[in-house]
Amino acid sequence: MKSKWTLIISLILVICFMGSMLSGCVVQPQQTNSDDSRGDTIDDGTKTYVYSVNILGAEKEWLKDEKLKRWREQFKIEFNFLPVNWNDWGQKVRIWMSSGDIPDIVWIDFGTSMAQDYYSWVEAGLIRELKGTEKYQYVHEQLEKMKLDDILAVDGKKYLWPCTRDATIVDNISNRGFLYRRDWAEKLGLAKDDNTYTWDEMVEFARQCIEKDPGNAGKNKIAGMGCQSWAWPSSMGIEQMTGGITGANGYFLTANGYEWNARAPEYLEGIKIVKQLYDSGIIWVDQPLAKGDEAVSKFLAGELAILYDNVFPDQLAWFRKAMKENIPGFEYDDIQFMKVKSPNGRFVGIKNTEYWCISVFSAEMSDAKFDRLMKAWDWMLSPEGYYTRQIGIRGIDWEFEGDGVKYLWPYNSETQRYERPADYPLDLGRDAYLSIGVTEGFGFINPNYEGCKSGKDAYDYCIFLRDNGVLVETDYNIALFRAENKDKYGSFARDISDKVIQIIIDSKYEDVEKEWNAFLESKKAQVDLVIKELNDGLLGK
Amino acid sequence: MYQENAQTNDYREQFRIYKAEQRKKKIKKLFKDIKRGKYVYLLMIPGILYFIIFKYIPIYGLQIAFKKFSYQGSFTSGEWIGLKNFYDLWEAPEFWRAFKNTIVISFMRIALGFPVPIILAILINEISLTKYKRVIQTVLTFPHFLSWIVIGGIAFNLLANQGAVNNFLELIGLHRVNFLMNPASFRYILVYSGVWKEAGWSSIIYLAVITSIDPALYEAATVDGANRYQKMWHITWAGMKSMVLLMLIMNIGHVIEGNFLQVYFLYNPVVYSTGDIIDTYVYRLTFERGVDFSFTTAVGLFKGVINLVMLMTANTFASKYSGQRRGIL
Repeated sequence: MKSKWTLIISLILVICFMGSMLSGCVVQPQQTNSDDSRGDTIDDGTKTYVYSVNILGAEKEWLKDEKLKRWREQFKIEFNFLPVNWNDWGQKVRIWMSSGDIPDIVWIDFGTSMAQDYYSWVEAGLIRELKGTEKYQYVHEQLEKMKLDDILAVDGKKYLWPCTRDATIVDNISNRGFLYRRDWAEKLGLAKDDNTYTWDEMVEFARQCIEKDPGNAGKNKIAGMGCQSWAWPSSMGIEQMTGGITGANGYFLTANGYEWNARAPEYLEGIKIVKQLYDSGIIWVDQPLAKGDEAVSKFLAGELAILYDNVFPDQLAWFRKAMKENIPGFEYDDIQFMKVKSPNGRFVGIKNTEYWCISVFSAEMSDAKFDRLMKAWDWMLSPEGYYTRQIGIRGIDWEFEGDGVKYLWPYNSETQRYERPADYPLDLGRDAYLSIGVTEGFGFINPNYEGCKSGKDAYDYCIFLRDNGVLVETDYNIALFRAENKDKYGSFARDISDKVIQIIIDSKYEDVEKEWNAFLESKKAQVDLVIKELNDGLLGK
Repeated sequence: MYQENAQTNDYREQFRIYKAEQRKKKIKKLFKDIKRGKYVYLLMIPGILYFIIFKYIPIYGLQIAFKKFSYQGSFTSGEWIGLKNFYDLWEAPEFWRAFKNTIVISFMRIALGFPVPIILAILINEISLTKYKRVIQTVLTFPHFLSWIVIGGIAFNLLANQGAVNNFLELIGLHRVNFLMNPASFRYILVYSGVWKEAGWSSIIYLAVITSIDPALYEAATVDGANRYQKMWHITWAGMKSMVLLMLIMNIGHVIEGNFLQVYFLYNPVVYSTGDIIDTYVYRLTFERGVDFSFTTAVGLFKGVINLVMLMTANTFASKYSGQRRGIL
């Protein structure tokens, strides 16, 4: 009897161990419909297809969005989410690709440095060609509008879907910049009506915030300047010094051919500026330890005077809302974009690429499945889809009227707006649109959209940079140039960043130039190989 | 001459038969053992499978260390490039820095951290109040279950410039110290954060050994007039000495393992000179620069070979110490 039980327990344990172990080895199913074998059959409009799509965070809230629910039901599609975050996004994409365990829709934070990977995936037949898109009117128009898919076409075939940037950004000018506590500036008598400051004025503001603690945060709690970890240390003076001189590709064109950004004299000057700011305590002393958005937390807690971030409209709205809820007396206008002249006297803006991400599709996806997805996307890109995602459900929230739309919400004569009912479900679905890249115009036509005011501020900031600033642009020729050493070394961005951080923290100011030059010398042989490839390939030298 | 040869052949034949019988006996004994411990062998199957699937089959993929990596097809599809990755490795100063740091940090862990769980185990064993003893054990073991991400956050809040420790230092009139950005102190932070996390957990094995010591020995020592410290030295320490040595040798055998997660969540570029280990170096190469799986596999293979050498050396020492023909392997 005892032996029998021992056998049963042993068997259960063995089965459990093996089951859990082997389940980890199983290839993730691309879809979970039992009635559908990879969707190879002709679409008869009755089956529901499940798509695996990676998404930032483990967001599932948008499944509750009524608008999207109707969209999913209309096209009989469902989604499985594979969560990614900013830190592991690229890593996961590369692992999926190298293991062959590829989601149906792979949404990629595509920097030009990933072009080499992209070409490898195409060559390896891992991603699906975007063929036959002409039959979907709005999909076709969208692709025609974008350039990246043409530039990265392989043998004339397109393989990627560029996700457009939010159109609140003027001419693709980035919302990257300094946000500051305007209420503190007012308290200190340093506020400027138009929010424009010279570099020295900005530093003085930060210094006085640290010394006088206008936010009453407590002794030693206020820091002057901080930034998202991805922007450290370049955003604290280097980017502003080199803006419009070195470009955004790691290499720039001079009269003598291509040159490495790090060798520009302005780069060294920029390092010295950051070093001075750090040594004098203006930059948050723990900034080099931040591995994510610690500086943002500090800003939201009322302990940071100036924050550098990529502040898109939604984010600005969220910052303001969070700070209003948590900081007594805080008003919506108390944080503003600070328009700062660089130490060499220019307003510097970053001109983004036309896309901010790309979507690629697994080569395993059947034609029928792809067709259904394109039909769903086509509807989302149509005028009806546009108004649906901006306003709500047709017939409940809005209706076509002439060339435009009329709101079906009650009119409030006090605010002179059509106002969405208070119990209306929130806009949970934004993330759903990102992999399609249809966030265009978000926040402008919907009068109740909470990002409206912040959207306007972000828009004005971009207009200002367009009209007054030098814009740093991506040169696709350099960024996507392929050659052995360029592919291998890229622009040495990580090496540069590591060295600059080490110099800022660990060196004496008088040794900065010597140490930087020693670093440049140590990289010379490799850099010269890349530069030779660029000169040979792009200039024919 | 012919007779001598015939005799030799006869001996050989007898020897062959003897060996065959021995082999048969061994196999019979093996089957008998398996039959007797059938449940234990049954429970071993998942473990064996684990090693086959996750440890042995992936060895096949090591060939990409000698190839130009391609996403296309299997490991076999890339172009052979011989030892090029290893030459590159040899010439990469960053690798040698990481190699040195890995070794130094591991030996520091052994020198400064290895004795802690032993001392803890002896001290816990000396506590006579059972409830208090359990509470202490629970408190000391708890950090083992925290992930390094959490501990990284704790370290940031404690040791950063505006962290609790520095606030306290300032409160008592001392200067703030840049702990996490100081190359000189970073290795100690690694060692002692590791000690804090694992000492309680590691002491369990020593406590188990202490528990197995015959209580009659303590009673006899008491009768003989031995005091507490004499009993600790002559009985407790003597009883656990062989386990301590075994654990020490095993630790030396893993000296090239640098604890990636711990370093990754605590380090920053300022402390690369003393804190960057092989694993973090490989991670940066693989996921934060241009992707070159072949090169990083070459680094991994190199590390594996060093590990093997260290383990074999440790095994030799173990066999010498134990006086047996075989060591711990």
